Amino acid sequence: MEIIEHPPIFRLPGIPDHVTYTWLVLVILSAVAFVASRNLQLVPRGAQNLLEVVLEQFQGLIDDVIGHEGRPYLPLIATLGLFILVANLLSLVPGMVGPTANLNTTAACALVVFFAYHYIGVRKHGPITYLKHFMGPVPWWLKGPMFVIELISHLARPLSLTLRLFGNMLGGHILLAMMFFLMGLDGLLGWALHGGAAGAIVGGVGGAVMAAFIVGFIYPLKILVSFLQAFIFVMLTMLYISGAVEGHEAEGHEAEHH
Amino acid sequence: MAPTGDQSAWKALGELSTIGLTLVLATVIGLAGGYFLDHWLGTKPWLMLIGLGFGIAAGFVNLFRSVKLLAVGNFRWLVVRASAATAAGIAPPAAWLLGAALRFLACAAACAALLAAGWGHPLGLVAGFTVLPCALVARGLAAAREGD
Repeated sequence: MEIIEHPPIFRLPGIPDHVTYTWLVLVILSAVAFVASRNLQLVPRGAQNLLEVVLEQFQGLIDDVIGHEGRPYLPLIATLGLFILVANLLSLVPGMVGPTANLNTTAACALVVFFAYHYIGVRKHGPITYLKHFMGPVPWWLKGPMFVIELISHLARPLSLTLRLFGNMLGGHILLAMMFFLMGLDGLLGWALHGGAAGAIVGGVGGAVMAAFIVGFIYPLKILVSFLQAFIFVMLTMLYISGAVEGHEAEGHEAEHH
Repeated sequence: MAPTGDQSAWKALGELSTIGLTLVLATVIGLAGGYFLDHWLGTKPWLMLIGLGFGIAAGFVNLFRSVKLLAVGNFRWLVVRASAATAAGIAPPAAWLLGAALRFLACAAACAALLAAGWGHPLGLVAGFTVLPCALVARGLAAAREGD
């Protein structure tokens, strides 16, 4: 990737790029939060209004998926969601590096989710009951194999969270880099600026078509993917927390609440 | 953003997005776990094979759970809408008919694509369609009754 991608506009010596730009996301989110909460009012306006709308969406989703007992986990879920969304969108700014296109960042997010939902489950049910949930409602001779199967599928969760986000973001970058490099936008522009009439026509028209294609199709697609992946990450986090809070035995009782 | 009272749609989206990856990853985790246990305990091929078996089993258990959730939710939607439409008396609303028709069309298109690509045998399709609806109708009816 480093061969075909433009280097980022600023680098800190000795610090990997994705860490630098994770800090940038941190600064952006902190600044927005500071501006929004600096002058809190009962009737919100401006930045406070925007942030309240965003957080209410998160809260609505949590109420839908986990239920009202999911409210305490709003900070965790909303922080993860906003961080991932801003990090995804940052990679669309030319000269910036998207932290989520690096496996380390997404693995960190997924591990936070993994340990958080187990911690929530253990604190809610106690360690013994929580481990018993792993065996599920099956006959006794299936409990041993079922435990191993559940263990494997719980281990698959952080791995799939990590790989889905990372793969989607990196895939987008590779696509964009291919557009610029392999399909030769640089070459077309160079040809157009070279001076000849044929070069101006072919290179100019080709370059314009390429630029229109990238701005009109690839960029909207990447914006869509950024939002979708952040949403899916958050939705899965909520599903996992909901599973840990309910336990498997509660599935039969779920209908009574509705 | 999230329509209240329609939570199964969001849950279904979440479940749907995990199906493909989890199937592969569970297998890989089982295999890798068995491999490293083999190295540690010195029981060369056995734990890896057992781990592979467990991994595949875990993948399919997860797949089955997700598909069950989706299929039951889908059927529940159909039953609830159908009972609402028939309870209201006259003709069922056009939007409901369109939704149901689109679902059947999508199902038919998927089956046709499988047949055309040579991935499915007509006999297998027939066998599947005789077994699936019975299980689905039973589970869907139960779920719809619980939901009401």
